[in-house]
Amino acid sequence: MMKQLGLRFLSALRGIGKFLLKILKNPKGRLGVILVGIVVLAAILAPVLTPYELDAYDIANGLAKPSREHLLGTDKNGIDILTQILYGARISLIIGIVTGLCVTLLGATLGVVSAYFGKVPATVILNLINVLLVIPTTPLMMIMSNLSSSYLMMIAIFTLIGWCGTARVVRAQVLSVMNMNYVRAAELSGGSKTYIMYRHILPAVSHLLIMNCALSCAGFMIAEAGLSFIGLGDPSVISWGKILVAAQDSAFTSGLWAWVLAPGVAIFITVYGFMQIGYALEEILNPKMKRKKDKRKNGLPPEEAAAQVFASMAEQSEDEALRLKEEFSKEVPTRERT
Amino acid sequence: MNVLDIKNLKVIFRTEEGFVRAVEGVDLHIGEGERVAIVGESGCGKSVTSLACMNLLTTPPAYVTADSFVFTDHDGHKHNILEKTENEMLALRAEEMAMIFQDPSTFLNPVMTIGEQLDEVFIYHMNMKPKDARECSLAMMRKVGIPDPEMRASQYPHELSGGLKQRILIAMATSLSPRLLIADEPTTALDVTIQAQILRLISERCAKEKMSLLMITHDLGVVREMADRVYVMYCGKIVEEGSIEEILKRPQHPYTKALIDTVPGMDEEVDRFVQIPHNVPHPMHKPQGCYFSNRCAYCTDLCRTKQPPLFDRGDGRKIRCYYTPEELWLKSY
Amino acid sequence: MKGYYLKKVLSSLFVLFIIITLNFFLPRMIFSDPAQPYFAGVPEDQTALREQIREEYGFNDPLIVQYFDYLGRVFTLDLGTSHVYKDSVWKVMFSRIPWSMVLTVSSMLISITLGIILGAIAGKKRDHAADKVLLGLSGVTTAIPSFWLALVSLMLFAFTFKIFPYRGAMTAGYTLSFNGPVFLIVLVVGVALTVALKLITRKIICIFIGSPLSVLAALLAAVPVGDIADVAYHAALPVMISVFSGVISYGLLVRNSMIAVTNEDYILTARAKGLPPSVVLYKHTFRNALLPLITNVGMSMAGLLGGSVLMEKIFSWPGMGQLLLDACNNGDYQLSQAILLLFASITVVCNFITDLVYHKFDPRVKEV
Repeated sequence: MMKQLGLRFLSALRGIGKFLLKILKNPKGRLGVILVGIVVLAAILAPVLTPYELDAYDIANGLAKPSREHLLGTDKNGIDILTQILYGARISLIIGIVTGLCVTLLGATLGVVSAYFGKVPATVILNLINVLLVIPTTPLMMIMSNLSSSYLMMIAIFTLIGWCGTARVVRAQVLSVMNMNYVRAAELSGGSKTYIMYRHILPAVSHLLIMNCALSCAGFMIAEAGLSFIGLGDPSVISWGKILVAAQDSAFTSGLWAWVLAPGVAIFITVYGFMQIGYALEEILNPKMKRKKDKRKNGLPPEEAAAQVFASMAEQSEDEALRLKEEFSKEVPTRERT
Repeated sequence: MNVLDIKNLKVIFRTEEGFVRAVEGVDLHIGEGERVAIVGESGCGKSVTSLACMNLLTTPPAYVTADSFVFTDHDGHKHNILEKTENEMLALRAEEMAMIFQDPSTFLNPVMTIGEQLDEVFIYHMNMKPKDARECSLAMMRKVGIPDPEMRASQYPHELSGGLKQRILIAMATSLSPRLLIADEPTTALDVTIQAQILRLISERCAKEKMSLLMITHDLGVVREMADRVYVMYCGKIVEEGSIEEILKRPQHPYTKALIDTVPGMDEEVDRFVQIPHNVPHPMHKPQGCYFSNRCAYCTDLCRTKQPPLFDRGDGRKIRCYYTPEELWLKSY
Repeated sequence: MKGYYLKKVLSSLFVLFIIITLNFFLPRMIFSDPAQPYFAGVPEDQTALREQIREEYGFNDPLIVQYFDYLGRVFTLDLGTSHVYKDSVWKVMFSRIPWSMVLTVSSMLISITLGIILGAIAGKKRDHAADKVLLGLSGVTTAIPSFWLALVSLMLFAFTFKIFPYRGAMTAGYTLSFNGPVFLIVLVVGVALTVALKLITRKIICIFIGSPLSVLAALLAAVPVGDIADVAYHAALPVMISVFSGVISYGLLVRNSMIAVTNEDYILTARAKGLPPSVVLYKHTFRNALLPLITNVGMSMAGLLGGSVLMEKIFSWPGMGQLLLDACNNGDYQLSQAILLLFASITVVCNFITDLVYHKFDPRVKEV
């Protein structure tokens, strides 16, 4: 029993490994994995990578220009900007990934339920979506921040409102798959609901979900940066949005370009990385997206290439063909009547 | 005098995988008032040929060439279609040559009313005022047998049945009584019960307006009703040409023969359906010799080596096969 | 057809009702004592006075009574008074809405116009520079937060080069002089002309061109040129930033739908009819290709009154976003609640209008 479980585990691991290899083989996926990898490493290794602490007040050294000691300069309190950016990666990654996963899970579940389990759940969920889509996220978040300013609240509200989009996409996909003839065939041949769900419907939506998850991670990272910028989220935790607020207060007048540019570049790298992984996943998982190698690029301009193809389509004359026929009938006698 | 005279038409498409040879040297001529059909399986290049006749293929991706491509209009002027620009074609389309398409539901603009779409022909070709154009449109709709044309004119395509939509397309194409009418599988997307009506309508219109007809179809039953002369096309080449009686009675090319055999006769008892073995070769990977060689029951090494030319067997019959019917008959034993 | 609209109206009303209910419970959920903001300036030990305030504003009633009380007030459009501004919430909001609209409306109009032009060129000629620029930029700009772009350009153009002002909607010390009666008169005349034109020509496009033009004319008549120039000067930078991201998203949308429509069968029919290429393009391709844009514009319409909190914060623009931010920071929940309700109802109304307009242009929408 234990042995069997172990074997299963191993084969699952091998499957995951193969999948990761596929992502790395895709050029977009490779770029995305590298970019996200850099950010993740920076977030984990922040204490090792920088000799400074986030609470190392050094006011005498405040608003320093980039130098060898402080690669990106310091803020008003003399705290190293690079250190802030490295630690800031943590909150950005956590919010993005956790929210992305929650939204995808909730959206997928409710989307499938609304499409697959009859009229009552569908009506309830669709009406819920109608209501939630109307609520403006930012104002709600700002009002709710009076209750709690923790990042957990941000994740909760993002999830509460964000699942609608995923659910709609999933619902549409499930409905269209359910109308496919192969699902009908499975139903007619006596497949149970759970079997059809597991065997036909989930595979049809899974590629959509995985891609959607990566893209929504990217989206929520941008949203988090914006909300942190307007002062939401735990004030004691550093995030890229908050570095930018401080920068607007003091960097502009003192011309500290690095302070303003660096957080934006960090956001861009992370978000772009996640988006590239998302696109790569779509290319890998969606069989319809398989890219063929473009053979047009190398070689002649199209008109000349076309002329060559036209020239190669010349026909032989009738006389020539008859001669050829003679030749062949000599070498290979026509089959005798049997 | 021929309305349309094409010599050695070649059409290729540039795709991501390289050039696809859609039409490889087709000779085609249509006499005045003649009804000609091109028959073949889907993907054999018959629709592309018809689009080339109207000069509707866009470059890129399509590249078109021909030794000669002459269209003669009502006044006897000769036009080289391939040398015409899009603007020069405007005067020919609808006035001299018109086209009916396969699927009436996708070939009508979904956001314009039926009336608006019919009016356009009169407005842009006859310089009519919208009001007069609508009168003409309604008259045309009556001619193609649409009941209550005033109501239909104000409706949108999605409110009409497939048969009615096809009638609208026929009205649109024949409203300026062109010299040549091209019908690209006009009944494929329709119910069997409607098909006969539409075909009868097309023949009627052609006879009344003295139009030549180029019928594109895969249905030999349609050909029997609608054509005087037939071209059989396979993989971008014409494999057999002849009058309809000759071809149906005495098919000479193995492909034509196979095609006729696949149509189950009404009067005979059929044990099993006849089918042509294998599939149409992929347009990028056609056989080196005769394109039909991989499916032909009489194939020889010669067929596999070199593509046969289109032999002229006299009486207007042309066959793209090395062997005469007698030779083939011998081989079949 | 009537059934379709009735269903739409009913579902919109249902959504509004839910939103209002939510809005009622929100402050009661957030604050341990929803009357708290009303005690401003009243020391904690003056329990009697506090109790009096509580009684006066109805906080001692049972919850259900308070709820129906709130419903009644919302339906009579009474959103209460802001205890920070000591004024009616409506008045406070109306003093800010036009400022937000200066930014949002102008950037939306510019980005839609440019987006359509750019997208049409890119969709029609695939090797044109416009196509390459659009595709190249769209891959990158979605990953760049626009508020950061605003910060960088603010630092570049306002602080380093000093080309644009760095804060506010007008030069400090100035206030906008606005001639209300003139505005109203010109607006009414303009709208009347528009409606007349629409009735004569029977072209719906008259309304889409005429109404913005009459608003523009009314503004020009009611506000001195100097003031308009000053506001335009201050709005230039934020508008440019919004236009930059707007053009790319609208352009990409138009490009993709142009390509899709160009490959449609009915375009072939139109060409086979011998219609001039310009007619094929404008009457057949464009009309179908702009359909997705209607939905998209409809969705962003709701944001027109709201403005962008981020942009307004960065440029210290005195609009709705800034107002909401202040209201939340001051605990002025009467105001923030009202803003939330306003945004949500505008979204509902805009969705409904979008449905109507879309139906006008695309008759295929199912008549449920």
